[in-house]
Amino acid sequence: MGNVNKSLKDIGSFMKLPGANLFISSTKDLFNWAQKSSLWPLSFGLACCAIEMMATFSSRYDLDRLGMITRASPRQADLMIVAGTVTVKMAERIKTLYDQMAGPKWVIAAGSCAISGDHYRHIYSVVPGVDWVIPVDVYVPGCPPTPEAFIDGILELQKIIGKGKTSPTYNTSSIPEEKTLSPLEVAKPVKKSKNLIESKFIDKNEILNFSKELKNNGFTYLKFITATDFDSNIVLTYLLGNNTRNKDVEFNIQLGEDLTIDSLSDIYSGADWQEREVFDLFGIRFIGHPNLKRIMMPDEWIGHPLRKDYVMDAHFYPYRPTRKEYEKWKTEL
Amino acid sequence: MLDSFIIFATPIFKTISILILIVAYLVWLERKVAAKMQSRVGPYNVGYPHGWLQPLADALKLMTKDDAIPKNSDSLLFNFGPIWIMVVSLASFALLPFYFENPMLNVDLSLMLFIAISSLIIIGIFVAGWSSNNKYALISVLRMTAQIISYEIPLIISLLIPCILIGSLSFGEIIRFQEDVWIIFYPVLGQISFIIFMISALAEGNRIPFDLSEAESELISGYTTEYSGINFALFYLAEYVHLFGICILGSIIFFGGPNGPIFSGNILIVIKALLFFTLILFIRWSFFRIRIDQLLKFNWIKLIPLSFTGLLLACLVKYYMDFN
Repeated sequence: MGNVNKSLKDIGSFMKLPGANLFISSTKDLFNWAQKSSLWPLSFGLACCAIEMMATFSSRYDLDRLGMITRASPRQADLMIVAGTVTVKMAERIKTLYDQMAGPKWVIAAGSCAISGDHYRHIYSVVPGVDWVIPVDVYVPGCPPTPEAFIDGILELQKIIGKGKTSPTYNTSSIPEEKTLSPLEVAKPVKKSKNLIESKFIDKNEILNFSKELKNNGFTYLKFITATDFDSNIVLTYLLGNNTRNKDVEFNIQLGEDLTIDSLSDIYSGADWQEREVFDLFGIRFIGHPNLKRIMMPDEWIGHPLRKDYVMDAHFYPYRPTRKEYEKWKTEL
Repeated sequence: MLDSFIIFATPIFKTISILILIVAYLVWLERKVAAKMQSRVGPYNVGYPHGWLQPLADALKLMTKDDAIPKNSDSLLFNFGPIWIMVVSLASFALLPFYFENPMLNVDLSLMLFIAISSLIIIGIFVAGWSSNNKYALISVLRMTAQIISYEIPLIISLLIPCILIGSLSFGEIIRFQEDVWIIFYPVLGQISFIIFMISALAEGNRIPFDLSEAESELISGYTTEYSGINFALFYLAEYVHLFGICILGSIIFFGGPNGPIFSGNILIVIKALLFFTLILFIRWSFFRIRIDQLLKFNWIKLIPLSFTGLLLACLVKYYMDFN
């Protein structure tokens, strides 16, 4: 009976009466206890922190001890563990999943990327902290957090739930300050490989004839197309390989004001995706490309992120909550 | 009037409350067995000796959760599904002699009636999946309907084999016959019918290796994808009630019901059913899930011919035993 008393003491209190013990609990305490004792997390992971989270769920650490079993459907989940870097593309999905979860619901931001973006903070595609998107209750630091840190975060959350606090802590006071990053270093001439037989600048009108000639000479493999923004002009770099002779040819094209160039996709079918990538990140138009649309960024994205004139940190302003949204979340929870 | 109502209602109330208690701790047992098989501990911190308050916490939490009804769903059918499943799976227990000495409904064809009632569950599941207006739920119920309808044939035939040997379809007769020898020890036929029953019971109870309707990697969580709160709790409970019903059926038909080597009594039915449930748990946590086409092919090409052969054999045995 002593053991039973011990486990019931979390829920309520015992009252000594002559001849009997009376167990008293309020419904609020009881429900708070139930909610903290059976936190079912939504099973999803974003990056390397998720691996550590899986380790926390499995044999050695075993979150089932605390009554946690993962649910695949957001309707049945109480807890969202955001483990990993939140990219802008993923932020929308996380918001959708959070809205689909039936309340009461809690969020743990696990790992430095989910907390603040960490060293990916100023990259064009990363949201600096998941609390720009959804309200967060507990932050678990670490890169990635150890299983012990995960368990500590969950115990901290259980304390919060046990006290009956349901209003989310929302990051409004500490809006990340704008930093002017030092300009990226101009690409240094890298050590050329031994196989490279030629590296030169050509005129942009010659590209079709030049590459056709190279293809006839055995350079049938288009290794990559890339571009570099030197503020005043953009330089396109092509690397072609000859697989029978194990030789490479590199040629560069300087683009002026006019950011258009003939597409190589008729000659090298591998150029299709490469050119789409260059178009996506630099905004160079390839004439004659069969399907020139964005490949990495969402279709509705504004601007081309790797251009020098692209405004840093502009991308996550859509995710900064308005006052109205914030008030709505506060009243809902 | 009131007296007759109390006489009518008391056994129902007692049976249902005992049943819910057993089923709540079946979930706890499952989590513990799963933990043991994966060298974990399982529920431990909620309630001092080995998390004994875990089922209570889960049930209370599911009650406090929001009851989300999707905007485009048919809300009437959406709420009807879980209630129907719960009612049907509890109703089938009226025929099973597991708590009282005699079942509440004592009829000659009690086995057939049990099968008939418990096969109505698929209506509730189909309604739930259809009204959710969710593609995962819909695919899940389509798979599940095909699976349950196909596996009902070998299930019924595997139960008919002992019934032909005994010569009756009532649970009372079946239990009385097994005072001498349990059906599972009946040479050849007993073992064949038990294996078929075991496989089809796994498919009927929607357990691994046949839990295609809940394949998490493909279908989120099957027909319960859109359900939350108390509606989900009803599904969860009804699934285990149904499974426990099948376990009790197995313990009565194949393991002699209340007849035991040392003592006899209705508690033995429950103990045998729990052992049967543990066997199902061992299968669940050590096997993988198979594909839907493999599932149906296995049923129609292997299981059904085998069960019909067994049925024919049982008829011949009965014929020669009766006329010699």
